[in-house]
Amino acid sequence: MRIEKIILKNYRQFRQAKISFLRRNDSDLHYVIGTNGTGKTNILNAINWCLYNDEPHLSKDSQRLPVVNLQTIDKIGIGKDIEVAVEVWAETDDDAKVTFKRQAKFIKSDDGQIIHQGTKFELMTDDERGNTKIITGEEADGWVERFVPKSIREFFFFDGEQLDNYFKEATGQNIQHAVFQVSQIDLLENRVERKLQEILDDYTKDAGKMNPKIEIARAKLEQAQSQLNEVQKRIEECKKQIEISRIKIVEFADKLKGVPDIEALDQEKQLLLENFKNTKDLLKAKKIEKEGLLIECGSILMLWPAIEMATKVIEEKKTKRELPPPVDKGFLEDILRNESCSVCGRSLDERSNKRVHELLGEVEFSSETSQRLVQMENPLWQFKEKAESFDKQRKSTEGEITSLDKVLNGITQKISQIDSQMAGYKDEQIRDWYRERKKFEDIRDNNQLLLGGLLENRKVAESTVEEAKSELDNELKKEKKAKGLAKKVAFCTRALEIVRSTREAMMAEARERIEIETRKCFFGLVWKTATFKDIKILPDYSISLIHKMGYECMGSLSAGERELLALSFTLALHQASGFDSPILIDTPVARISGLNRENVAKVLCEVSTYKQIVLLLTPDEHSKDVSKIIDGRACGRYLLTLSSDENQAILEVL
Amino acid sequence: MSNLKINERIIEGIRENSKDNKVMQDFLIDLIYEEAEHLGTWWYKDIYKKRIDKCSEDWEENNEN
Repeated sequence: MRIEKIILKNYRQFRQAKISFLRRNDSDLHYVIGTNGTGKTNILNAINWCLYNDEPHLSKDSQRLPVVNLQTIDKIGIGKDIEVAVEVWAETDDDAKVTFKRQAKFIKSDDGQIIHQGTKFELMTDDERGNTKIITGEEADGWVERFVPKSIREFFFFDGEQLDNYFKEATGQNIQHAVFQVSQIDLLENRVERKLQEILDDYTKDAGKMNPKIEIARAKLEQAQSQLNEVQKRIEECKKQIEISRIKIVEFADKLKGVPDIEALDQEKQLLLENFKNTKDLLKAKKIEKEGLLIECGSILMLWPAIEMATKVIEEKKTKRELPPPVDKGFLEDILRNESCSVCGRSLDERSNKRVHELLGEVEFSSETSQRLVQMENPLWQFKEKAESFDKQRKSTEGEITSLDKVLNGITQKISQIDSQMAGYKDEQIRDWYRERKKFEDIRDNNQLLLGGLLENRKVAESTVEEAKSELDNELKKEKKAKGLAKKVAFCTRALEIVRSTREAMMAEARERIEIETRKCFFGLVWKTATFKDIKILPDYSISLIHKMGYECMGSLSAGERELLALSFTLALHQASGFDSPILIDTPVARISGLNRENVAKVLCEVSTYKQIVLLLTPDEHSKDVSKIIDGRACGRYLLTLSSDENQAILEVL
Repeated sequence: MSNLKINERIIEGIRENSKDNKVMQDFLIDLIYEEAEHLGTWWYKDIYKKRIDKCSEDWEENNEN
């Protein structure tokens, strides 16, 4: 299928325009060159409007304007009708013609407002006798679906600049949906398979009405099937969450490449600051301890000769047994003075008097002095011990102070390293990115865990369904009245098995072919062929690009490279599916530069040998290098400019 | 564009998977072409059931043989 021509009437910049795409035997490449604002992208919008009644690529400026051409609005009188129409003329593979036409009626009111009156969609084609047949309503929509299904139109009519976002927005499931549609796996799954299943359900319900045992077995199967479907639904949701998380993780990893983990660094800094404070407090305490030691021992050291002397005296006295004194000197003097014993009151005789005098001669110190000397002894020994251990204590405390100083220096250095790592980054934004990445990592991990359990549940549910099927089968065989129905049930069951195994084989094959074609195309397009090693389309249809060093590197692709990968995938999808519809690309190489741009031009020329390609280019994209490649191949070339009042596009054939 | 052009792999796949039974093969291929003609909503049950009525008989005979 291809577009033969597009006719635009009063549609946006196009008051009256016809763009024909006549093909040559060796090429079906066409292009329109136009600077921004001339209406180039509105050609893409016009096709979408005609086929699907929407305009997905409208610029902000165009969104504020009516669909009606501004010059027409100026020229038309009050109360007059205006018709806006876009026709897409298509050719089928067997040369049949079909014209899709959408018309919208407007009226210019008394106050100059443009009021929408209604929209009509129809298509015209020739019937078997060659007469023109007009088709409207649901049937007409069905024809659009055959041409380019609405749900996958972005693989056919797209904006090259938006391709960059393709892998960010599309999940594996979206891609899988596109693959199924384009490869027509969908035709098997959602139509033949679904309908056969519905009819099979009808038959078993009919059989259930004949015999309650059949009904019980049928209800059991229905319940088992619904449980299996529920598990399957949850598995799909889980896979979707995992895929979305995977894309988001890659996206944040991309943003955070080379950016320090501010949150982790900040946490480390906080710990270091706390450690710094504690160490500083400890150092202060040690310094106080040292000062205390100096104060305490300083006086001892200064009095050291006196202490030595005093202890020496005490030692000598003790050696001489003068310490402690045997009798108190004052007591003896009292006895002599009173001439009687102070203890028993007996009078002092001559012998006793002589003995008291002898004792008095032996006692040199008074009891008070002796007691003082005895009391001094202990503290003097303590001072001595302290003075002797001072040096050891001083050295130990000074050692601790030195090592605490070192610890503080180390902490200070680490903090300044962290500060310099964090300098120049927007703290909050980076923190958010890290938090977001962590969030998606958690979602992925939780869902992976959940998925494991669900896959086990599915196994159980599948075996329950099988058991219920065989039970129903047995009951059907037993009931003679249900013989005819049993035959149909068996037939439908077998038909469903064949459809399912065909679908599964096709799914595996489609994925493999798309993988091969994407790889072939991407390595033909990208100039950095030594950087990348491989492309994988995973079973969940997510795309993985492998760096030559073996790691997944989707996140490190430039916008241009991402566009090349998306373009490769799109072309592979067309190639592998055999779905024969045109490709229309707006600004195909705007984000691509140098050799990559030339490669894209070459690949598009190659594709145009078997598929219609329409390119909407800016003059900048139509550079010397590109024009050298495509000009000779293009069979339709147009230049788009604006009228002097800027309200009408002028199309010129080059 | 009277019909949707069927991806040849579908037909090949059906043939491969039902090669032991021509009745089943023709039944499914016919259904696929039928679906290609009716891309919108259509009343399929009568057509499906008529074909199943006929083919299930032939299929049984074919299976018995």
